[in-house]
Amino acid sequence: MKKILFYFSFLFLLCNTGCEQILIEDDPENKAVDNFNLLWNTVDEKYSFFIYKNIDWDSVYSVYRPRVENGMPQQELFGVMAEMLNVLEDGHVNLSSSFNVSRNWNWYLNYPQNFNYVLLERNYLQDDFEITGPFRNKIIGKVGYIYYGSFVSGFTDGQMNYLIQKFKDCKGIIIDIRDNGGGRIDLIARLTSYFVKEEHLAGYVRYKDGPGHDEFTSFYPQKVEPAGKTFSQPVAVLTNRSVYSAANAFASFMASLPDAVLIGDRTGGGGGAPYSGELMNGWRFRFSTTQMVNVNKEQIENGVAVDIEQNLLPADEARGVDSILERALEYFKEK
Amino acid sequence: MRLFYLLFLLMAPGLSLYAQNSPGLRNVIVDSSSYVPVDKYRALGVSYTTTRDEALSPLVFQGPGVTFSASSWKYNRNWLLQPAFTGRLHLLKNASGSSVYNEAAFKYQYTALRELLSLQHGNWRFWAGPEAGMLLNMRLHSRNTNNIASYDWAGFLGASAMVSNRFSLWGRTFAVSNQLHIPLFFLYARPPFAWAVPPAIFEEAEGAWKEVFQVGTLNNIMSLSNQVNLDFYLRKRKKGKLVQYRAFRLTYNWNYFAVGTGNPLKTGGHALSFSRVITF
Repeated sequence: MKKILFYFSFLFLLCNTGCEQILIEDDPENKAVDNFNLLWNTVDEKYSFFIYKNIDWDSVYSVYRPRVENGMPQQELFGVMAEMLNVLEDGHVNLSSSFNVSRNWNWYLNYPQNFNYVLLERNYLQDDFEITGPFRNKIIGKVGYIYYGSFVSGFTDGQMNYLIQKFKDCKGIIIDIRDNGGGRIDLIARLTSYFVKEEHLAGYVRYKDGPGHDEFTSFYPQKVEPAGKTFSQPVAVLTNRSVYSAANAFASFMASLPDAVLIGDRTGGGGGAPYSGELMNGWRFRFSTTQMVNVNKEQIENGVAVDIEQNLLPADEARGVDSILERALEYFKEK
Repeated sequence: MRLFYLLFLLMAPGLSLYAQNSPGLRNVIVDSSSYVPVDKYRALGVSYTTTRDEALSPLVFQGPGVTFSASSWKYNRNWLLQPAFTGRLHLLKNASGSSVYNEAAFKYQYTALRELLSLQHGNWRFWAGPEAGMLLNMRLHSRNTNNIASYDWAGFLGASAMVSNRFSLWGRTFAVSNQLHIPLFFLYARPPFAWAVPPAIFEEAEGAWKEVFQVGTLNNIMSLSNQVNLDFYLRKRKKGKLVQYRAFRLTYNWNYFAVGTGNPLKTGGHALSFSRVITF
């Protein structure tokens, strides 16, 4: 009996194996229909703009599910899923496979570009501009000009203080974020902080709080504290339709400042921050789960309107003139 | 097959009560009536975890890891006091192998067991008592956007029960103990429904901490842990003379933790570790 007890102990060990797998359900099978359902369900529970965009996601299922069959070619399945996600018309919605990435870029492809960096560099920046961290900068006609191409690139207090000191005698500051597709969320308030003098309410944000399309947290105020040193001049922010996501939010923040104007074309939008998931077949997807709104609680998902509309006119572009930059320079001459 | 395993597990405590012992066994677990030093265990081992953390992914991730622990058993009159710290590090992969994430799990608990029953001259003992502790699990899924990290933090109060047995086999003395831990009340924190960090903190909202922590019981949060220890001596001889006994412990642990609200989580795993008993 001692041996039985001893062997029993080890048998008891064995019987413990796999127990948690009883309690943790298996993934659905890696079949086309299961992958489609997982994608549709995850988006259904967490996407944040169904009501704002008036999208009937249930009817979208009815339209696209019949086109999915187990065993269908992967490219074809990808095409159906991509087409379904395209209904959301959201630049933050992507489906990634090894052979393709679905995307919606109509928020800028359907509009004039309104930016020509080659023209900017050759005729305005030329060979005497400075590169201070991510900022290409120069004094142009007594106005401090800063080009910031991507919110993926961080910056330091030292770099900003350098620009503040460099431009201290300028009558205005132009911060050009045309073609800035976004990046780090934390840099939005951080960059704005160099343009505010006191604590400033710049916007609101809310998050999906449950699986219902209308389940959100309350709106959290987004306040910007001034940085140690700030620009003292009025500021013009240059935008085009390619301004998206974090850059779009920055434009919204700046639009709330009393001495800031937006010049150019309406921004592309992207007021929701993306959240990732994956399917059983290894494909990954992301979509928006938050809503950023401006200080008046108006959605910025479809862009931020400018104060002064100005396109890059083809005739001006042909003769090497950036109409939007010139309009901003003219704005400061008039002040 | 899994149903068989579950039924066997439920039967095991009952079956063990019918085990027999022969007289004259040396009591590896010393009589509680006399004061004894604290037995300290420093264990190192391997583990395997299965996790579905919907804050990171809707899929199940599984993988191996290493486990380490520091614990002690202290006898105090009729009580057995067990402070224990456990850490585990895992690399988890989904079924298709398309992505991985790292997991670090830490747990500290303090258990106070009281001997309720002693049979066959102390060869069989049954213990039960309260316990308190906290756990912290962190996961990092670097391929995600924004929901890169996930965490589970919980402080808990619960109960534990243990059955211990000593016996001799092949001229050596062994002790086996099987201890079950069931936390009953929790204060816990998990990522919110669709973001990596509770937005109340992220947005520095007033009273943010009230939204971070939630009170839970078995209806929305569950934790189970079962530990089987095998204690044994090895003799150290020098020039043919017995100079020292060295005590060792082999431990098998099964654990499960699940949160049903917000971003649901289910995680469970096994660990096999080995430690030398530092004082005995």
